[in-house]
Amino acid sequence: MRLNADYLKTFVNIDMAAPQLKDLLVSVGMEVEEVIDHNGTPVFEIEITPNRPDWLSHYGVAREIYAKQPQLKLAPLELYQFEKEISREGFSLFIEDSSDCGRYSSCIVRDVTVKESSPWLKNLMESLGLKSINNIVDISNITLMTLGHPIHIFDLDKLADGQIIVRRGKQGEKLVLLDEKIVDLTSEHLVIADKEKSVALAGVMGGLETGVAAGTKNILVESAYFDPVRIRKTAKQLDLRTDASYRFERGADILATPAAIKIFLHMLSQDHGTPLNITWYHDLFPRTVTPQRVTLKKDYPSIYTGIDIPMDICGQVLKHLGFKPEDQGDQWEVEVPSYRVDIYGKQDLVEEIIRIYGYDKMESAIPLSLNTVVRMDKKREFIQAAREYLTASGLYEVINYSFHSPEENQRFSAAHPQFHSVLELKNPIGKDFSVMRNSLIPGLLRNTALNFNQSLNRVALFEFGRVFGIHDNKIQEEDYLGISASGEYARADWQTKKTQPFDLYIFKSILAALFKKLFPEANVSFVEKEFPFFISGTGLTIVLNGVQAGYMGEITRDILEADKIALPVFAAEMKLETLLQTLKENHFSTWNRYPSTSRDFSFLIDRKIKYTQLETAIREIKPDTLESWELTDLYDGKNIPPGQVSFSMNFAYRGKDRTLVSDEVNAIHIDFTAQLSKRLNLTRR
Amino acid sequence: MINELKKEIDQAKTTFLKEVGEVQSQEDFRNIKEKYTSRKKGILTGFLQRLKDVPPPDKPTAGNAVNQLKVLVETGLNEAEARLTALKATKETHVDPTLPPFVYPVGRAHLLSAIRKRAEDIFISMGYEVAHGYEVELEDYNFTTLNFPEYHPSRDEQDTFFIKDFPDYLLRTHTSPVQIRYMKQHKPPLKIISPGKVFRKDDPDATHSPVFHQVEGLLVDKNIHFSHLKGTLELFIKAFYGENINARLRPSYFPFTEPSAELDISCFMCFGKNPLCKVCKGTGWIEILGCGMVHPKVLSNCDIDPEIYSGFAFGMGIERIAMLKYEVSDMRMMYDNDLRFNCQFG
Repeated sequence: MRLNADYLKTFVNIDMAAPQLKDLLVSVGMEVEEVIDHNGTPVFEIEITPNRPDWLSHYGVAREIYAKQPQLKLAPLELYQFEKEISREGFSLFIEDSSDCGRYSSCIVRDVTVKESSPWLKNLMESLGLKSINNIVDISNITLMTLGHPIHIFDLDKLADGQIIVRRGKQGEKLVLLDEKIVDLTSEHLVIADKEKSVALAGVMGGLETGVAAGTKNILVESAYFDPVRIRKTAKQLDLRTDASYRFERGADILATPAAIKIFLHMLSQDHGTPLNITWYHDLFPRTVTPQRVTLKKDYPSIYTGIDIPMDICGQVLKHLGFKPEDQGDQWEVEVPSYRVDIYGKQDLVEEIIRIYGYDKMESAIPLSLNTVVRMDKKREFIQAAREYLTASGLYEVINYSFHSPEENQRFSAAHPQFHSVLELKNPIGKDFSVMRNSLIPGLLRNTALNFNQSLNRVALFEFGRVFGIHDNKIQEEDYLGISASGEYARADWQTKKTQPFDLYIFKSILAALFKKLFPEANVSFVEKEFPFFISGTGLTIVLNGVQAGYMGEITRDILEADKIALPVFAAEMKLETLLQTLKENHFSTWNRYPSTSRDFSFLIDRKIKYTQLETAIREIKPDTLESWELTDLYDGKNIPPGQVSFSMNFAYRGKDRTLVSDEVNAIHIDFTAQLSKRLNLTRR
Repeated sequence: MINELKKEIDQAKTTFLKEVGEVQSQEDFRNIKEKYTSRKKGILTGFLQRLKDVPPPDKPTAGNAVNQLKVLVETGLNEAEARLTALKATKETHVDPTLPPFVYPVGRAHLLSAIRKRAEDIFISMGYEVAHGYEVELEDYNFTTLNFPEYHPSRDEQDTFFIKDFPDYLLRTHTSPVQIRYMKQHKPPLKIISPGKVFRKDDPDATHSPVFHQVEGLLVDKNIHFSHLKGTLELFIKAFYGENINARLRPSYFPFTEPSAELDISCFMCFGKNPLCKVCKGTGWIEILGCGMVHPKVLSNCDIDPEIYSGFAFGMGIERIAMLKYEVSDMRMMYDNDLRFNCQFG
């Protein structure tokens, strides 16, 4: 809302420069966005929180300035004085439901002159960012800017048959608004109607047909109180936001309707320079209003703020703000003014007191409260440990939006079979962001594409984040760790002279090392499995202590083409909850002190036999003294018979309770490798 | 005669040690080896031959002296040879320790993770527990229980994403529902922070993002008052920004707190001394977080009696803190994941 400093001065005699006034406004709780110079007058653009509709006017702000600086004088509002008793005959008002419209004050003014606004009025309108239409419309707008209560002016001669009805819209009924928009009315909308038709959308906008125009002679002035919820529903449903609806939905002052009319009439008579011909006035007030009362113990403001605020100051502040505190010994019974729709309890009054007393007087104290149980956040600790390992391994952390396009989700729908369907947003910001992600990999691919476009050669990323889906008609969200790598693993340097790109084995090694670091005692295995988004034959399920914790593989060309990525990308995703369940305390174990002896074994093996089968066979027939083994070379070049591949392995033997002598080791090794050869049809080289 | 021989042997020892120390090349080595150990003309052979002429009683003494020389020569020659080999190795390998190191890949945590961890660590050190919740929340816990009335404009301040086919659910607009769930499950005293992702329906621009992060905090106990809030937040900002940073409170409004406040900190960039400061826009103060005393309705909605207990709550946006701290001009950079940005932090 805009606040004209000169116009403000007609209500409270402030004498301060713009910066001081700005500080004062901020100190009571208004946000000053901007101070504009309008032809030498400071104009404040202020943001008003939704609890304070009473500040949405110059007089409302003046009341607040007065409370802060009560030595200033708050001028009474200039209201039009009716010279005689005005007739209630000749025109009638009818409110269908008083819960929609609690009060309707209205009057008829005849023989008005519609003309261009005076320079003063035009200038004031302009300073407040409002477009000048004509004197009558402008004065009604200034009335709003003065008191904050919206009023509406009808051209009386365009209303049918001397009656105003406040009712709900009817199905099939249409109304053309002042902005020429045509709305289809329903029973959810509150309208102002004459006998024949609706003429205005109550509390939101008037109708075009009955509005004040150049030839208007006689007017009907409306100043009403509408239900905030009804106005909000109407405005929201029709996607209309007006100065009037903005105030009504925050809560108008039900006691202010006559004052708003009288401010309008006062300004109109000033504008016309002649007495007004008011022929009818009626204040229809079907709702009973009792003032809000709050009991406040006198020592409560000090207890709740933790600072000593003298009781007499508390009482004075409340009075200056327009409250009526009735002294009842150790407490006040405080009557709340009708324009303060935000005050219900004693805490509200404490805020009022310290707002005016000064938030800057607040002191600092340290609460001694402690939780009775100290719970460490295991997930947080795990994430931090994993993050430290991954960053030390040369991977960068990324954070992506939680939104995907439906296509991105579709590509990875097989990632999490527990999600039966996709969680869709009802009101997304765009089609590319219309569903909740079901996997972290599409985000990593997007980031990979972007970085390759920026000419980076190595893109190794990870993200901790939540994925979403629907399981058995229930919303599910799960935390995952996603990892991807593409491009250079090790770049050529002056010593190696050779670039090594990421490949499936390097990627698997990074994961294996992660598990070794975080789960030193876990049994980790990678089990072959096909995934539609991985190139066939590259997919692996990651199994920790017998539980599937995630998967890894090489992304298919189709998917990479969609992201315009030319290089192979390796990716993995792991469920944090499963990883955490596998996480156990380490145990100390002593080590074997006898020396270990190793023997090499090179052999040809059928290509169809996978390494994991070889390992299974080793495990099954290994002698007790075989402690560990390692693949030291793999060769399938020259001199290798077709259909075979050459492996070199190193086997380490160690006695459990004594040192093994060389001949013993030889005998064990020869026997073991012979058995293994027989089992898998290996040829010793 | 024996004395003369011993004197000569001592002389030969001294000469040998001097000569063997001066060996610089294979040629030197061959020469000295020949001179002392040649079977025909070598100095050692010469002494051995002269032993024949030594009278029998002096023979053991003389033999011993010659033997000592022999050991000395052998040892000296071995050492010289080793020295020559080492010298050769050094000359053949080029070592320049000033050559550039290889580029060893270094990764980094995301800026938001780093800031979040720092904020969490400070509150954990003050005894707060970290609590988590759902990102897809019940509308009830995100708004109604937090004293946002239905159809009240206060809901407009947090433009909300809704979920198709699940009318009771939305994407949480703040992490406050975590506090609601915690209060419903635990009895005071309670002291938690709830960090995490939140969502508001804003189109991405330099200062808006439909996804962002918050750290919120909550303390509920007996006799908690507004000054406790100020003291706690002062501890936090001094730990986070430095001990010379001050805080001020301004009145504000949140449906779930009463009284409510915005906390400003003194500008860590210019300390109020630069009228053109980009960080504080010359005001000397930076708006950093929203806070207040927990609204009695929120406490009673969570079955905590507001006549017995009181508490405070606060919340801050991690993106905003990060942008101010590092003068990041565009919030979208935090979600582009351009590594030229991500490699600068964490």
